[in-house]
Amino acid sequence: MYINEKDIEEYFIRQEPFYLPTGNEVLVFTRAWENRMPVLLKGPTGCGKTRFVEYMAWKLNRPLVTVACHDDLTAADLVGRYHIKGGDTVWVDGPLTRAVRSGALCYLDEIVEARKDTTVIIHPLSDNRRVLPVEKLGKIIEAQPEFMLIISYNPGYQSIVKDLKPSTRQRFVSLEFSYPGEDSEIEIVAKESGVSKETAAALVKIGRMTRNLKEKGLIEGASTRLLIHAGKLVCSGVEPREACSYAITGTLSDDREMLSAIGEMVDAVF
Amino acid sequence: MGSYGQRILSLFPTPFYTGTRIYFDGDMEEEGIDKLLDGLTSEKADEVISAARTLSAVKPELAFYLLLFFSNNRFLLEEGRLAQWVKVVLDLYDAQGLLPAQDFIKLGKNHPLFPLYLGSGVTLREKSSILETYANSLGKEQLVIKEGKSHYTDTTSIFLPSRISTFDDNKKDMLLYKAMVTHKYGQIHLETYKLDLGGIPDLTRELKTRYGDTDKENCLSDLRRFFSFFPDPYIACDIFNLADTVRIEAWISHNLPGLYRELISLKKELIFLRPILDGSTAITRVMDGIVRWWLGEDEELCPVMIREMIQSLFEKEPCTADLAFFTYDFYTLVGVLEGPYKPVEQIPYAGELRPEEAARERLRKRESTRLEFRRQLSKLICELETEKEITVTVPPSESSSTFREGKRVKQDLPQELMVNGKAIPVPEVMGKIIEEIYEDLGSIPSSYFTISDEMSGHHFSHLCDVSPGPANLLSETAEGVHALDEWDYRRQGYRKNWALLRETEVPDGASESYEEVLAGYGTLLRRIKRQFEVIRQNQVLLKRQKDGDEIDLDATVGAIADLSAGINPSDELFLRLKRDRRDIAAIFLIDLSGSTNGWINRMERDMLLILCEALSVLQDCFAIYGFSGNTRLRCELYRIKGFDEPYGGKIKARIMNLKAYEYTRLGPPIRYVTEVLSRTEARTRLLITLSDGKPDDYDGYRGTYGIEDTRQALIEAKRKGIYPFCITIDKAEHSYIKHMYGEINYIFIDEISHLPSKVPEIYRKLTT
Ligand SMILES: Nc1ncnc2c1ncn2[C@@H]1O[C@H](COP(=O)(O)OP(=O)(O)OP(=O)(O)O)[C@@H](O)[C@H]1O
Ligand SMILES: [Mg+2]
Repeated sequence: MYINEKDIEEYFIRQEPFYLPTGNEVLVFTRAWENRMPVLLKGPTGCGKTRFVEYMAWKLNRPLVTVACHDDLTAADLVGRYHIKGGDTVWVDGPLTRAVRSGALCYLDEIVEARKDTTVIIHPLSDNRRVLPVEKLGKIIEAQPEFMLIISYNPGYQSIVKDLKPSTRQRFVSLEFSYPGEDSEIEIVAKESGVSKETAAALVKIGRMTRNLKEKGLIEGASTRLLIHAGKLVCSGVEPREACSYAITGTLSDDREMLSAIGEMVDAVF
Repeated sequence: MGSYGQRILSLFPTPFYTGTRIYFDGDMEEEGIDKLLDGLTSEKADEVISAARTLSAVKPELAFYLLLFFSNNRFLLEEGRLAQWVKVVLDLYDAQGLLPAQDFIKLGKNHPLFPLYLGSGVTLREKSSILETYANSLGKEQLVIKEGKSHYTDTTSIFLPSRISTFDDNKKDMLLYKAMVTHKYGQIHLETYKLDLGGIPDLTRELKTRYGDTDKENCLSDLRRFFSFFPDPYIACDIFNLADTVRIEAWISHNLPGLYRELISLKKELIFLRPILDGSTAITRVMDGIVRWWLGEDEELCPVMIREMIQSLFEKEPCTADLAFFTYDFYTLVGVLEGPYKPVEQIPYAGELRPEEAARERLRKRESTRLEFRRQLSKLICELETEKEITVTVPPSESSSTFREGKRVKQDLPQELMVNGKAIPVPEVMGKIIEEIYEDLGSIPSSYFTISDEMSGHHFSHLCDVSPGPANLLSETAEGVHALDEWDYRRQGYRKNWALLRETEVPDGASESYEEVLAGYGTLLRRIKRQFEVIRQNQVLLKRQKDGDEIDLDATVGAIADLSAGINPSDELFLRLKRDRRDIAAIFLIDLSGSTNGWINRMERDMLLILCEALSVLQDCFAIYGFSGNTRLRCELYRIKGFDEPYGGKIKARIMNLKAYEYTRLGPPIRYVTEVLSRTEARTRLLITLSDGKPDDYDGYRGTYGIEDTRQALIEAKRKGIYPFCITIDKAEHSYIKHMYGEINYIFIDEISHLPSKVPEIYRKLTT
């Protein structure tokens, strides 16, 4: 599906997404946008990066084009390519080109997953040139002033193979995300899943306990997203301990002893 | 001959030696050994014989005693616990030798250790890992669970009894363990042992006025010093322990409501286990009554006033200093009762207070943090390469007083250090250490910053140098030492934490220069580099794709033609450039055992240099380790190149510095680097070992044991998604090799001088 098959109008977010700021990220993001600087969002999975970008797009009243990067994503997937239509070859803009032209926010989620050649094309866009060279068209497109590039990156896996090159990283204003503070997270979990404050507090407690086990047996603790999942199960009538075992315990580990230990943690809280 | 006679006799060699006699042909039958299992159903007999076979594989005498004393252990067969018992016997044999194992078999249920290993209830052995994970989930602290004669914590380790069989129900026994761990965590978290008398001068003054100056200033711990102010320190200690338990339970009720609910019902059951006091003094009875009331027994056992005091303690989240005040007030009330006080039994999950142990641990931690701080500091300074005279300070912060109303106020941690007046941001590792120092001392003592001669250039390497003498064994707790399991084929099971492996860096700074070596391989090197260059540029243009980077003109022309001809055109009109993204992480594990001394070792060196040159063309991610060992208690792993270390002069110098060391114990290093590899995210993970032949180590690792352990380690690696490949340069027969390495996963290089050309070639073939 290519973007000019859809009107850019559809990329505006009409309803205010629920986002609870955890620091001064809203201000920093706004200032970066005003100064036409690209932003890098760092942080563990499920901590609210995507939600934050949606919120900012709404707040700045710009369309939001999101691309989830994967290891088969080519430069052409982002920039565009020729298609055959009605017997003719026509050029179709990729999401990035469309965002550049229309002054949208373009969010490249998990950029390190993409093929290395894709990171190269964002270089001229993310320094003060703010241009996108489209080789196939023989054109250089200048970005609209409202255009903003946002990329996300999870440094948590400490992977040696997948790491952003310094030359890429140093073009961006970086915003570090971590899981929300205890009270904020309780509010988020309660609001998003519909459980009571007490249940949300218990879920958040469990989440924080599992995060204490990072590098002490777990690769990552439970994310806000997992806690919301568990909350939703509780809300639809699943018994809390059971909900945790489906939504949290099982997703974090396969190790039998680790599973029992998380079970003990859940039992201690609920 | 007995019904199972043939099979029994086949378990033993002839002649068969026991400690007391030799059995020749026919002797066994004469003794009736062959008839020992007569009367068992064939199913049951199978079970016993298979247990005997497992034992016999390790030590035939163990099987012999199993049969001889079978009647003493028959109940295990009925209970279906024979296999479990066999494991215990083998562990005992490993740990203590033949005689204790033999005794254990002989005495059956009546052996003093039997209840420990096979009794009812829950054992720490089976639960310690769960409990440790649970303890670590409670907070940021890194805690260790250990077995101990009494139950307490020194703030780093939590000591627990080896078994709990208090209840009929294993779940409740486990709950008691959990309550113990949580209570100890509470002590650490709420800083029970960090009583600071300096922060409450009024109380110390009052104590002195009331009870006389019995101050023991040279006490290791302020908590102990506090108790010593009272006429009967035991009463004070028990009051304090109870008060501490009250506040910990309050903490549990807020933070772990699920556990708290279970704890309340557990407490009620614990009342019945308390010994009944008779003929005790008033003070002892009251103290016991208070504990009973706290566990949930009738109210009249505990005076109203005390109940109210405790209740308010439960409600107000007291700090440790508050507990001291409480102890003082409480003591004034009960101290007037008739004595002497005979300490009452503690609440089982509260355990004992051990102020000295905690204080010693705190000092030990402080010392190791101090060393670590100075190590990081010298590293920081070395990196800065400033002039000789260096002064380091912490920039002044706004809040200067660390105490407020007897409580230590958390201070902001410094983000920068001033080095010669210049602000240097605190590196992350150092930040953690500074946090620990602040937790402990409230600020960084100025002595930590003293830059003396020892801190100049060589200081860092001096501090890091931990290499012990050649005969030293590793200690499980030492830095960089890892305890690894080994596979024992005879019992088809793992020996837990059997081998100790240490990872160290190979020192650089060799006498010979690598330039010379590389120059000698000029032609070969050029050829190999060219071949690798080709792989890198290995791009294929795929035609007629549904989508791609470029229009496939041929196809398009065809399609347009089709169209005008009224035929439905194909939509496969693109060219796609398929770059083989090399997503590979490889570890090379090189044999540095004594048998590689000389020529082989030199060739390994040369090979590694060439390999590195070739791999840096590909920009593949790779690491190199060397291994050697001397018994299971000292497996050495030498890091030649880590994944994140760039290949360069330093690595080359390390390679030049490789030496042959001791024996070949392959399993542990394979297991260790498997872990390293599985932490990478590469799609293809390759483990290439180069070894000069049979596994061989001093302590019985040679022969089948070593072969099977190596084989198992490789199987484990495969299960973890790693592709193992073994290169061997064994000159001798290699029938066992196929079995050990697996049919397709190895190659044999007989001409050592071909190593430098062969290994890169193997790698190239494996990865393209
Ligand atoms: N600050 C927040 N305000 C509101 N909701 C939040 C916040 N943080 C997290 N959430 C909730 O957590 C869920 C997961 O967040 P999100 O999808 O944005 O994570 P992410 O950081 O983009 O994760 P990933 O790296 O896996 O893509 C969201 O659906 C949202 O419900
Ligand atoms: Mg996301």
